[in-house]
Amino acid sequence: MQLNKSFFILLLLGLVAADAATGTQPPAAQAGAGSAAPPFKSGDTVCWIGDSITHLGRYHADIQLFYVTRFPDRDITFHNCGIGGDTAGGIMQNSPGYRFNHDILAHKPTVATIMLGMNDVNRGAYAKNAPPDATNKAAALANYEKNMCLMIEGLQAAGSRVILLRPTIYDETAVLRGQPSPHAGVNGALGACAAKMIEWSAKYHTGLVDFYDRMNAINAAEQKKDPGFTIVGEDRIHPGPVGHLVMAYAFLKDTGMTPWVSKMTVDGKDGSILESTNCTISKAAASPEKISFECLEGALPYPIPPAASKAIDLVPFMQDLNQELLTVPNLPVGTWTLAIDGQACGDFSSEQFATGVNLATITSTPQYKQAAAIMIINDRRQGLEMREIRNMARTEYGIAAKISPSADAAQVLATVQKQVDEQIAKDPQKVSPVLKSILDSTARQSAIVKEHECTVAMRTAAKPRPHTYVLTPAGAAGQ
Amino acid sequence: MKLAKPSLILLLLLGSVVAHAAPGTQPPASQAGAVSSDESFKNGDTVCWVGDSITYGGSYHADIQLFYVTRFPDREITYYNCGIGGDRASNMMHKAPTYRFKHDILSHKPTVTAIMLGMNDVDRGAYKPQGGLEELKVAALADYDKNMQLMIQELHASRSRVILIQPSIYDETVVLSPDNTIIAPGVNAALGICAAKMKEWSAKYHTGLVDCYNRMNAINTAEQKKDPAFTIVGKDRIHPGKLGDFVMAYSFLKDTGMTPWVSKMTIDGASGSALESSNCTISKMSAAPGKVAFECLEGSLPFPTSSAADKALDLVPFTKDLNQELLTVTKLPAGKWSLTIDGQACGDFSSEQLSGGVNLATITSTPQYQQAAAVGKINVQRMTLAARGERSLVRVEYGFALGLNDPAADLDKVRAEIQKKVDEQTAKDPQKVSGELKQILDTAARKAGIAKEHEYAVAMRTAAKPKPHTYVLTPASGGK
Repeated sequence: MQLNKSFFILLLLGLVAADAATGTQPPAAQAGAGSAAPPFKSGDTVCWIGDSITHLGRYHADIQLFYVTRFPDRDITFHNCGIGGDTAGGIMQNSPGYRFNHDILAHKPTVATIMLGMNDVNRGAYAKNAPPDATNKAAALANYEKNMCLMIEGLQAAGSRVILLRPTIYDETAVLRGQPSPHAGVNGALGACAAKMIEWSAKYHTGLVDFYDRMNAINAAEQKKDPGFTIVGEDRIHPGPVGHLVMAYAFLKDTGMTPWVSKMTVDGKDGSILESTNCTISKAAASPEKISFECLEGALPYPIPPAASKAIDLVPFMQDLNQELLTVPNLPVGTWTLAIDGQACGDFSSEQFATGVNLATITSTPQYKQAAAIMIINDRRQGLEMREIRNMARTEYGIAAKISPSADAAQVLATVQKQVDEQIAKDPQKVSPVLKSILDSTARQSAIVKEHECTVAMRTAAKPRPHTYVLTPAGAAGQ
Repeated sequence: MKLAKPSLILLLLLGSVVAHAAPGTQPPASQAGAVSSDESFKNGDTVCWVGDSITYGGSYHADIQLFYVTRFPDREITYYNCGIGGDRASNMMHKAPTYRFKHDILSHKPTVTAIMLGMNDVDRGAYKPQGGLEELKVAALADYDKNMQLMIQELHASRSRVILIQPSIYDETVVLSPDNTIIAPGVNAALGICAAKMKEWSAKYHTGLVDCYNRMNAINTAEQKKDPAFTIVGKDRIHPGKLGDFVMAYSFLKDTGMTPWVSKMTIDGASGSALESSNCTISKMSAAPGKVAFECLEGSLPFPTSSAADKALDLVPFTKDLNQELLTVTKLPAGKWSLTIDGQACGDFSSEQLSGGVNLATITSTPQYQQAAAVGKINVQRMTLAARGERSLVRVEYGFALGLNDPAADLDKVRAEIQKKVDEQTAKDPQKVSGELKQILDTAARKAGIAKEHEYAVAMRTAAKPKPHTYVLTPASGGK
């Protein structure tokens, strides 16, 4: 029995090694990788732990939007726990009292995702003019390993599931004019972090999501066509909206999300309902000139943010995660016009209808418009959280780390109060507005309330509504 | 009874606005404890300015565009003037939505839409001093309410975020000579209702909110105490001029979360080391007893305020809140110092002034200010072209669209109607065909006009690219 288990792990490691060697095939995307973490359930509290890429918060805002459109009934609480510049050592060693206990565990997460590595690797050690000394690099990785394991253990001890996000890449290959040359070797170091995460996911039985291999593969393929392409940003580090949607795709895919918004299949000849997955079809009727039915779906299509639309050329987002399939077999041959609630949604051939039309690709459907309006609220929520809540946490964290590792939120506030008092004594006109804002509990509370209002508004706005579908021969006048 | 009910509602509504407007001097968005919002335009954004004549002809959004290109020269943002004189929400969403809302606005695929409406929606005709039109007033506001909400919903459904601009005022208090007749007393309070509604909707729909209404009322009250003939809008009590437009631009930038900082450069005058460089890169520093020098490449240009109306900077704290290009040199030997940038004299300052910080954005002789002023000139050309060209033709088309009395009338149908008119005129007398209508049908020329405006926008971006400058401080009286 014991032997069997070790043997199994060896096999797994073997697989991983083989994978890492070829590099271009993201392991998690392979069948049987078995890293799928269960998706978030109703009642879950999710903490997104990370550095500036998580602090900015676009990828998990995309994921949150996905959840509210796919599962409008699920009551899930999300917390941005990213802080720019952060490292595992910063969280577990320099400031566990404030950062780990107060800023993360106090939310009582049932699920915590961790994406760290970009600052842990100590990019400065890879600078051109840095001393050619490998010890700094090795020490940084050893520190990462020690503190990541501490964090995983700490989260699990607090009753939280853990999902490890294999970090985004450092782009050393993009040809970027007018930008500083890359620190060679940083991306390799991130690869070491990403490999560690595979180990830990097996050791601690955590979820595992692969950004690293996927983004490297996309970069390699796209830079063949355009050397100036980068899946991250001009600073070689921070992804833009496209990179973040690719990350959201990776997360959703690797945590076991299905493609299906809904499947509606109605026979074009006799109007019988052949399939209704995640939807209820009623009042179906068919005549040679008109097929109609009513449908209440259990989900909404995912609205692709305009700024991220290039992402759907880079990953099969629509195919793998966003299928709202209307199939009408046995229609008389020809072109048919689809109207939903009287709104024209396009013309399709009887062959297209027989194999299925993906309604999620059509921005003029009432359900897509409903979803797009939620996206707008989500953008505001994300911006509010990033600026009003997280920037303040970043400042407090900086102060906490200077006091002592065990310093808690109360000690931070006391220190800030002291600094402000000193500044007032010197010159009341020159008190730091950032420090004053930390002490302004009303403003902080109002930011938290405002974000919560957005979250509630998203769920309210996401409640699916019944729609009337009508197919008529294209070009036919009237109904 | 029939009459009493709407009057009562209107009175109640007016009452709530007056109560709201009374503190007046404090724009709600600037109150302490309010959560600031970042509604700023990002790289890649497409912005539609939706409104009536104040948006159509006004320069408030031109000022905002100039601000963005000088502050963020790297951001590629596309703007569309979607204002039409006399417009109101019900025309846009109810009478001719296919032409006006879908074709004239949504077809640009906006990612941000700013809406300022109200001045025509309130139905000024119903406010003639004769009175007795209470029902019309109530109906007009109800129409505004319904159609504005529809517009916000439809914009959100089309993936555009929305910024509501609480409308500019109707000035009932300015004393005009020789004729001081107020044609429509009560209109400004009705606009207050529109402004209050916008505040409600901004919470309900999570939109951005910009306050022109309360700010302009407060400025008017304060200035008219000193000069009863002052008005923040125009002699018609409606249309702001350059002054009012600049106040509106200030309100917009402030309420959408813009920061004061063009750049911050702080140099230690004793050692020459750079102590702070925000939004700039400082290099080649050197300090000797008689000379401090460095090179600096900023990420932005100062805003060229000389293009604004004279009085504008006294009415709103634009320089303090939005235009700080701060050069600080500490530990200089006491005395007066001359600043030159690229060899150009930019003024004499005491060592105390320099250690407290000198705002370069207020100095028009700096090379960066001159550069920004040149960008401003291109902006004026762009704006003139836009207002006289395409938008004036769209206004005529819209008139035809409204005349068709068919909400489904699309661009093709509107153009067919215009063609019909031209054909009729041609049949009567080929010499007397309306030049404007012919211009409308000349789609090639119109495309060229739009392309030309776009060229100006690109030229502004090119001209706004910051350049490195050499800063030298020497004792004011002494030689080199």
